[in-house]
Amino acid sequence: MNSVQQRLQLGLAASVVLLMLLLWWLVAGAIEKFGEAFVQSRLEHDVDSLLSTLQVDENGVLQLTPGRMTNIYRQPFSGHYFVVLSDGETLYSRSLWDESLAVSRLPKGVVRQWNTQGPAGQTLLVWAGGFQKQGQHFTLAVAEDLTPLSESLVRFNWYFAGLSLLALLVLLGVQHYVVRRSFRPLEQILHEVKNLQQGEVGELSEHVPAEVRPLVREVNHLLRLLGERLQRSRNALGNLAHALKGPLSLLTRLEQQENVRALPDLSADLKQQTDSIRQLMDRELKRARLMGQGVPGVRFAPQEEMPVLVDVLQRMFAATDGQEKRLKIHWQAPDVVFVFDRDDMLELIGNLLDNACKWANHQVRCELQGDEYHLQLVVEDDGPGCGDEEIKQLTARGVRIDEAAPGHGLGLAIVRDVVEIYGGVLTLGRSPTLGGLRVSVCLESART
Amino acid sequence: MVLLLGLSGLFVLTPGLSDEDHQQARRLKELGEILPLEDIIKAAKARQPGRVIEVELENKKGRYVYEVELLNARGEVWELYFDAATGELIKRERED
Repeated sequence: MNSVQQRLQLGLAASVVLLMLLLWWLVAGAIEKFGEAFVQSRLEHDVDSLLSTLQVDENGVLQLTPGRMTNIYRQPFSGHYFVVLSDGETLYSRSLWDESLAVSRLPKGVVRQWNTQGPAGQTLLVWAGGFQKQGQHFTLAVAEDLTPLSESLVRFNWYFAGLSLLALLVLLGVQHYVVRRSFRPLEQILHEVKNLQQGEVGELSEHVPAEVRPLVREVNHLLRLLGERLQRSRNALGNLAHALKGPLSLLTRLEQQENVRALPDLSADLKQQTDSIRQLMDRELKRARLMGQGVPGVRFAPQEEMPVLVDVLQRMFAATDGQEKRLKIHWQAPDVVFVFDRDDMLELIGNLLDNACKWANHQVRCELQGDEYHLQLVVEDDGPGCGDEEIKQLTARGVRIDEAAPGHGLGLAIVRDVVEIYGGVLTLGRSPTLGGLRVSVCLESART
Repeated sequence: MVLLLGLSGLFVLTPGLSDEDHQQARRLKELGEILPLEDIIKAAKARQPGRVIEVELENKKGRYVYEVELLNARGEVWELYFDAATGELIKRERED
């Protein structure tokens, strides 16, 4: 049972039931006591009035003065009875009719009270005492039926049980509502975490209930730590790639030395390995350069990123191609924040543009379209383009079209990797307007 | 003595007319001549549900008859006559 709601409900139900039981025990007990005390005091009053009606006649026999008794003692089985025990005849109230009441004689001044079974299934409370009047000793017992009292007690018990159940249900309902309300901030945090994933926010809001604030603070701390670590490792990669450039050029020169050239196998091996190291380095350097200082997150704003990217590429190609290549990169993008990983998108677009720039004569065109969850990207150039066969081959991993243009094959491979990650579609073809290669990519974000 | 008791009884009986009927009923029940009232009331309630408001024991031509008055839930008072010795219903009528 790992639900706070359930645990709270069980706790509440248990305490309410316990409380109600205690209350019931107290109240029902009190009502019964009250009722019996009430009946007892009435019986005592009846004893008083009966005592005043009892007279000893001239024969020394106890007689009741008629007419001074309440009618309730005359109606058969009314529930109110009396018995007078004396040395002579035993007097019964008319209400007892042909039944009797088991009463033993009591010395004067002694009072007793007990419960017994009466006629017609009644439960009687009997009050008896020993008296002396006009020289006569006698025992007077009065009794009253407790059935109405116990019946109302039973009725009370039912009402109480019903009311308790209702109270329990209402309390559980209220608690359910309160718990739901209390957990609403958690839903807000969940929403924020999603936004965090999409890069809309850099950290979680700390305007949350005190109970969850430590958790949110820890998450924010972790986020900062992760961001820093990511940045550090990127920088380290860039630094490493830079640092390797020197030794790598040394190796390239080594490969061109005469005594190495004398060993063609070794030379070829060396060339192949240094080439692949250079490719990897190029890729990482490009990555490090393109990444810049962004917030890590799933947020890609082309209006912010594209100018920088295009600028970097234009300078790169102006610098590397010795002769002046009048290269123009046209780009067009909506003012939308796409829900795609910024780094992935930069890598994707960067690689495509890099390829296009490499092959283009003068023009490269890049067009982005779509809404925040859908991205359509087209990159085309006015270069020689590719034939159908080549296009087929390009879809295979790591295939290089032109050995002389380093990084080409790997670039497209990276593009394909990114497209695969997003379950997108990569299409290669010929540009109808510019005549060169046209690469189009369709991506769809899984709306988490 | 008996006369005196009877006289005093007569004197006493005037308001209730049958003040002594329960004493007589007790005696007759102990002698086994009539059934206990409890049985009669049970029989009466079985025939006519209601609350017993009055009971009388009468001697009609040497036969003891219980007259039971019952008030039912509709506010009607019914009179039921039983043979006190056998518990047999003699008459049942509504009091108007």
